[in-house]
Amino acid sequence: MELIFFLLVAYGLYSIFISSDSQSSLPRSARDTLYISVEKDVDLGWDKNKPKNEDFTLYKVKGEGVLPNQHGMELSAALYIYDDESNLPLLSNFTQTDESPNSRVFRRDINLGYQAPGLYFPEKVELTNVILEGIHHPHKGKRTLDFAMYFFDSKRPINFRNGIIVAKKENLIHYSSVKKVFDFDEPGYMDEIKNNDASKSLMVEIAMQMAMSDGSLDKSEGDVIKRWIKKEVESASDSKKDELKENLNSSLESSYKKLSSGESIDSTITKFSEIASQNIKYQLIEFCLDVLSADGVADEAELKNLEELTKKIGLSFNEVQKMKDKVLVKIDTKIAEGGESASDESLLGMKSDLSNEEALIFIKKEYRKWNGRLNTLNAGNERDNAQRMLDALARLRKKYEGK
Amino acid sequence: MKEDAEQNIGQITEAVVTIPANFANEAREATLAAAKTAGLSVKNIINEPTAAALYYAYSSGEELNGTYAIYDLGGGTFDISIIKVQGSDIEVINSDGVSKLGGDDFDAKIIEMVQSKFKEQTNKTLDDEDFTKNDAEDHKKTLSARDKTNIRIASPNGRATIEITREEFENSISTLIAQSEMTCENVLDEANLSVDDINEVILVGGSTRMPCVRESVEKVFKKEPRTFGNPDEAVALGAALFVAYKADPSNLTPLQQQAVAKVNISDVATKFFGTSILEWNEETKQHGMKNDILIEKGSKLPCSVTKDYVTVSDGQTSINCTVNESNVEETDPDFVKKIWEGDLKLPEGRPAGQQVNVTFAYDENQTMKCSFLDVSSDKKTEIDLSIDNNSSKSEVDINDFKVE
Repeated sequence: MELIFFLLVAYGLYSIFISSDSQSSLPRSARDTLYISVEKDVDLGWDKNKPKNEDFTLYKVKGEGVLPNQHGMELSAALYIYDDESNLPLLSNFTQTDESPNSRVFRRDINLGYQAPGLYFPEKVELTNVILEGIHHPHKGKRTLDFAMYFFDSKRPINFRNGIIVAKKENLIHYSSVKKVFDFDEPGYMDEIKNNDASKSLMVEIAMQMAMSDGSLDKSEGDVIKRWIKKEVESASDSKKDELKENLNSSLESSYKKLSSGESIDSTITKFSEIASQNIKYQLIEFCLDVLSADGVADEAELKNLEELTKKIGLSFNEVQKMKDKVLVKIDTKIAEGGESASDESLLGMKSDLSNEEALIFIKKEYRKWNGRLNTLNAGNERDNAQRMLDALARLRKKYEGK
Repeated sequence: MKEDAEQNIGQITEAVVTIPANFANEAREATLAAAKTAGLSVKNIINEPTAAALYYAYSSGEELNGTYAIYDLGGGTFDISIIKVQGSDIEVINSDGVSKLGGDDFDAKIIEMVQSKFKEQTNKTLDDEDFTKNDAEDHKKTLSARDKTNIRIASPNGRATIEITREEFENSISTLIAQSEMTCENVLDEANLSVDDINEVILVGGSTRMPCVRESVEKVFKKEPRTFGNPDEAVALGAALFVAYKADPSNLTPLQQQAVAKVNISDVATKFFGTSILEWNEETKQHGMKNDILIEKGSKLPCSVTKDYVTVSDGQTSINCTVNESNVEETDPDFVKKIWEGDLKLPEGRPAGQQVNVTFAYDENQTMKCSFLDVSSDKKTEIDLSIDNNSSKSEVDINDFKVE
């Protein structure tokens, strides 16, 4: 990702210099000082064979008109993006576009190089670009974003803090902004803050469901949930500690009562899915995997539960399978052997709706993965578990070949 | 074994070591350590499927031209290789294997069956010494020639006559055979080949004498496999040819020189090699470690790959450098073998985004040389992971040793 980002920056700068030089001699008078526009570029599928999550959506920020400098100078620009309604800045998902080492606010710096006065772009040229996946919005839903570009002399910078000019405003030579509407499926960072405590309470309830998949709460599973609550409370601010502790304990108790009486907590999962961000959803999966592995046994009900949960909260099956693999190789017990232990299909995360042909392709792919892992895992329990995965796959092959 | 051989041919000081295709680095190192303990100086390492291929190509007595599968099922491991042969030019296209699949596992299944049947008949447990691995191997061989075998047990715990049919035995090992079948299919998939592209399948290793193994090979490759010479010796004889091929011609007799002069071997990397980097995971919305592959499995040797990375933090003063190995294209660092780890010290006070070039070079002698270079300061960490060497060299900053 860092490499991709680096290349995009390099390409952006290159295109500016090429365009600027070639346009400067055109005999056309320019009426407007440079203004910017934002256009969606193609989806960057770097490798079509890779999963969707490795694709990126690129927006090009373009400029048109006269450069704003009155005399020759090293010209720079800084791009910030704001949520138009709340005026909150967007945050950065990459350290390279952090405003400063202490601020995650998105800022894109553009070095335009030495520019003589009066130069202009009669047609749109790309000034910089923004990877949509590299920015973090404040609110979920249809939002208008304000792309704002600040121009200044490289030798006389402007001081920003959290996207706001805090000093040397007089150094601003020119400002241009453009609005564009985006529809965000995921809760934004303000939604996360607002829903944080509610999400945590719901996480406790869902983890309890995982623990009680077999109808009862095992001590080791209860201990994992207790440790998690304790950690959350400890990391909360002093003023919120007591309230959070009370809420999480209350969720623990109420979910225990509900689940003991056979009541469903489907509505809890639905609510969690609506308010939790993608990041929090994966934290829930990690939490559930800790609970699942607490007693050292991955049983059928727990694995089915995890599969259902993944589906209901809309996470990538492959990503969850990767997380599950890490847990399963470490469980210190024999898995998939008789009794109520997991079926070969559940253990390997094989979807129940696969056709016979798809099942055999899945089995072959998983076999390749686990056979490759066998030698890289630590000798002993981890390697034995990988060997059991291979045995399970061989059994599945026999089963599905014979169908 | 060394002493036995020396009684026949005199003192042995140097050796070529053969390694199964799917051997982990630690198993490879253990094999080399064993050779050293036996007083042997290891001159070369060769992949077992490559050795078998070399023997086959050299000794078949026919002018070979086409793509061949070498199916090697021995006592402990299973290897499958796809080779392209044109006269005496041998090119290994792809190799894979199962590190724990072979005659020993089949013997273990016979022991399990005998113990279970003994318990049924006598209600007592059969001690290990009353039916040994060697006994099991003898009966396994019998089952390759006959439909059933009768095992007479006379132990302090009781007497019993146990019958094992070939069908029962084949059922008990069917999941093991299924593993070999999936490995064969994978090696073809990875090489973008279908069974129709394979001219012949050559069987190597003692376990290929078992009828169910031959049937399995025929089922997968849709053609009758072929045995050539003694399947138990193909790897060793191929390794001997490899030594001659690599040797100083002045140490060979004119006949030997003539024999190997025409051979030309091109091998491939049997593993993926990568390094750990920090990457943003768009799905989980979190930064996480990733194993980024530099050398792909199946890359023609020798090969060298350089990739550019950037530092992630302002003021970053070191990089954790790793060399990872995996049998599949694995991105999760938890599922790769870290075969080397070290640090590259960086100058202080620089912003994030400093370019770091990582180079992995791998040659025919399984020698890996890696370097991690900070481009702007020219600081470098180098590592040589060759047969007898595992040394790293990084430029030191004397300030690190000053007492504050």
